[in-house]
Amino acid sequence: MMFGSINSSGAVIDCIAEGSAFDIVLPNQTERVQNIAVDIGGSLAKVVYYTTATTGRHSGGRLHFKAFETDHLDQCIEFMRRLVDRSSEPTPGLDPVIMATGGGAHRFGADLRSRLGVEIRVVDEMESLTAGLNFLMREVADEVFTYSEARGQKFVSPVAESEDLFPYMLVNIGSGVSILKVTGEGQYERISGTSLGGGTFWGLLHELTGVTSFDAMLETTKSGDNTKVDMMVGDIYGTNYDKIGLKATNIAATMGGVYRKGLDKQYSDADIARSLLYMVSNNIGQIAYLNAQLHGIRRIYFGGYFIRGHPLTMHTLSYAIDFWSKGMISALFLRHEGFLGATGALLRGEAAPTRRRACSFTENFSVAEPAAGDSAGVSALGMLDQQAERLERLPQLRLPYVPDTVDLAADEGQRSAWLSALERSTHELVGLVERGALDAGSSEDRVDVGRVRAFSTLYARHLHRLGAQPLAYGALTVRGILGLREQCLREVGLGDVFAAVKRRETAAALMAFPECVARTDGLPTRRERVLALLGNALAGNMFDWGASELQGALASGALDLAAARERISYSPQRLNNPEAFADNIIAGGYGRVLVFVDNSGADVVLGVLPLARFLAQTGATVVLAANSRPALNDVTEGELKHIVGEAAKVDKSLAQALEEERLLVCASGSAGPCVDLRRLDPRLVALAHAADLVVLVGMARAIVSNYHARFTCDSLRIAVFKNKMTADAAGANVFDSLCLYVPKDSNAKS
Amino acid sequence: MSTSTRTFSDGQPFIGLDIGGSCVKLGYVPDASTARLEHPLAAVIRDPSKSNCLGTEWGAKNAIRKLEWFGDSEHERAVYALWFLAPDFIGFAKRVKEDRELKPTPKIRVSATGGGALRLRAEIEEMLGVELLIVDELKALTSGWRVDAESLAESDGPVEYPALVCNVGTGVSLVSVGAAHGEYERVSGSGIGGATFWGLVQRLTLFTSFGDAVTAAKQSGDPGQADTLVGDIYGVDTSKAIGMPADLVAGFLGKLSAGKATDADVVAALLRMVTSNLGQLAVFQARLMGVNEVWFTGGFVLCVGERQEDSAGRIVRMALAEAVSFWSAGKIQTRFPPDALLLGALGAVAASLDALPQTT
Repeated sequence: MMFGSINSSGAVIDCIAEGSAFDIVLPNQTERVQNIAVDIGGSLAKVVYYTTATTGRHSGGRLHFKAFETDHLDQCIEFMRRLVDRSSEPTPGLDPVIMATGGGAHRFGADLRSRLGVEIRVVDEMESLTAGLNFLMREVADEVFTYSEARGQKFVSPVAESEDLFPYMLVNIGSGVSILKVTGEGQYERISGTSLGGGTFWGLLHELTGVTSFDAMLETTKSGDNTKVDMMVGDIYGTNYDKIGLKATNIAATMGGVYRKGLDKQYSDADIARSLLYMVSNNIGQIAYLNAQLHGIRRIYFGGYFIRGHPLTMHTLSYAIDFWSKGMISALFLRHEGFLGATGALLRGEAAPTRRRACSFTENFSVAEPAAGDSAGVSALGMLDQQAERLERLPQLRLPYVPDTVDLAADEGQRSAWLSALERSTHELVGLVERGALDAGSSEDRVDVGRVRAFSTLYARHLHRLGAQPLAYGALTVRGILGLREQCLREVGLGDVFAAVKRRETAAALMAFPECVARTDGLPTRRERVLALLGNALAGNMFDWGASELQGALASGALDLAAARERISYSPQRLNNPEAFADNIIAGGYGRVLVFVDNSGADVVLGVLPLARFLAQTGATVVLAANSRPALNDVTEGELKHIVGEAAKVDKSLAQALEEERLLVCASGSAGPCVDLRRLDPRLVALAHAADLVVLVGMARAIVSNYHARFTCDSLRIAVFKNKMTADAAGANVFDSLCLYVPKDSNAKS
Repeated sequence: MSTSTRTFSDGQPFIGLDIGGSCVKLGYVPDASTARLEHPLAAVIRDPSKSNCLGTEWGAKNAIRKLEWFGDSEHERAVYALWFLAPDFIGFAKRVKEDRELKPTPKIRVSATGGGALRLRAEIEEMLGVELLIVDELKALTSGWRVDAESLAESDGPVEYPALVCNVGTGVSLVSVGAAHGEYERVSGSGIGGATFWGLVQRLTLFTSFGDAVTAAKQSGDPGQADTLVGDIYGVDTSKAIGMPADLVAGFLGKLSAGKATDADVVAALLRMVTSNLGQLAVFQARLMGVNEVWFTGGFVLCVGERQEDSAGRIVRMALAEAVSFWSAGKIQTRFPPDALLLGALGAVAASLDALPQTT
């Protein structure tokens, strides 16, 4: 497997094979390092650092994660020395500080201090672990998962409200095992532990087999057969012991078979390794379960270097918890498991990012590293990008809410179709740029071909990794891989490749706007107007550069609104009820409407805007939510404000709505084509509170995401099925339409 | 009201076998009818008052042990017991078989429990010339425990119910025993038991005798040479500074590969690991059950009539009591029935009594 990292020029991709020396050059040398924390454990030293940048590929703050072998601590110290060199000018009277935790923080503290020339502040290990875990559970979308060999990794949806996080138990398995009970922020207690942990596994295995590296040991366990060294229930009884629920294949006694001549067991080192792994994991699982019982806790998280994302270890711990709890409790694991301590220590610093302001983070995988610093693990970690605002949930959202329609990890057909379609479209993007199709004419608008090629290489590598290891970045969804595409574009310095195209098409559409609204205004009945406006909105949604099927027509200018309207079929019937919406508008209308808009150009100008104008004419306040940051040819908040302003110049009705503040444009908080309605810009959420209709426009927002979303108010979805995967997932055909009105009291799932 | 009287209506003796993974226990109630039987098994155990009983001669490990039996209100009886290491029992059974080949006798019925009773049923029936009546292992264990534990009531105080019985043999079962006869439930268990200890001792040291290994560990073993201690991680001074005892164990056997541990040190560390873990499981289970005492039984506890202060069993029992005291901060008491090893065999005998037809 290959892992990429990008050098400072931003245009050249530097491929490095896993296991070789990593590229210490950071992606963006203009970033300032603000905070550094290190957790020095028995086998790994983990560094978490926080950077800020005001220009370039991302604005705001970013958390980075990096792991080193403790045996190669020099590399780690050298890495931190470079970070210190890149840190902000020290505040007068305030010495630079590195937060440190873990057993080695004490042992190597003096060494760090003298070699880095900074103050080292040691944070209690348990305090760091719990602070880090609380933070990561809240901020990382796919942090927590369950694991079993049969079902693989299953991500557990994050808990939104802080009171739901607590109480929980953290079982930290290092040399020994600590069991912490956490009841609130900063409230934790070590309730128990055992010395039968990783140290015992290591010590016994080394002595019995001579294996010297932890990774080699984990590798060994994979092929071992513990039944060759353990005494099994079947060895004793010859059969199951059904009366007490023990199967013949259960372990009666670890290592109990090695000396029994009668059993004649022949065994290898691998068998011993597996037996010892089972012994330690089963025992920890049992003790954890008993503690959970005693303290009435239902959530048990496992962390520590013993786990390191090793599937068999997680499976055994899961098995033990499942066995002892009779299936009532699942063992929970964490993608950032190795980084809990370092993250918590960073947050304990005086200028920690969360102390300055409440914020939300988004994981950015454009530069992703294996979580455990080795190949044994199942996860890769990205960086955590900090948003300017704390993102909030749409108040009208019914829970439980899963933003994504298809689980690509579970659906192999959809997965390979999407991954290859996106790779194809990435090559097409290179083609478009090479032909100059995305340029507007002026040289400053020209999209840098080198950067687009760099993007294409980088993104393709991520797609390949996800093809081989679908859950490496958390749950695998279309929303995730489309978002990753935008992250990769930004990371190579391509802020908005469609900017010129969007301007060109928007200008053309604005020219057609007066005639377009005049035509619908001229229709004899309100009902006919509503239906025509819905038809235009669907037709407008055809204008999408994200759809490979349409790019040819768009680039040649062969697609106009009238031609697009011809294609609207309102089929399948179950997904289209424009009359029901029209009837409802005629019967009552709405007080406040929230519209999540899609593409720039004809889509928003000739499709969405006339519909919004009509709703405003009926007395509603209409809030148009547009992307905070560019994604494909989706219209952004800034662009939409400009569009609305331009249209108002030629349309009195719009001008009046704007003046009376019944037509508003607001950033959605989203930076990708899909939208997660739990993570919206707080300003939008403030405007959305009184909304009695939510409109979702476009395939990405209404089908790929939010197809199953339910609301406490009325909702309307307007989209065209523009590719085969999405059509297949909904049992529709390509270019079928979705114009579905769902009243708030309806139990029907769309 | 008349009491029920059990008779040997079919001339079958009261013999119970507990065929475990490591050793075989045999209990029996001597009786006039047993005396009349020509079966060699009856001959072996006949006249237990003789010090050089045939059973001992044929491989039984322990001298005849006499227990007062409370199973029958009218006829207080004594139960006698023998035990064998598993390979010795095979030798014993062969002797019985040879004897029967010389002088054929009819089969007798014998109650049997333990894993081997199921697994080796056909072989044992053939060799001993018996028909095995299988008794559930935990049923035998708990009814034997009840008899044995209640025998302590006068001297050591009454038995609390529900009682938590941790049977540590090859593997470990944690059983909750109710006040009513026959009421019991396996509530937990562990694969880290006597066989793990012994298996690891065999793989890691040159000891060949359990007693020698445990005694050496007690006399000259320092588990801190094999275990990773807090002081090994933080250094003694830092340990003090952060308020953790430097000699606290962080990881059992984590320092094995340093190569400084002698065989006695390794056994001491293994004993500490296994007993600490047992103590911890027992204490958690006792808390969940809301009881203040835990009972340990089974071969690992080795209480077969050993009363010498320095015996291996005594060392193991001390270690278990220490672990329970540590994990419960002294709040939970550790108790041992006087005949921990023999409970299964006692229970099997009890079952053979129960199985008899009752006459008024």
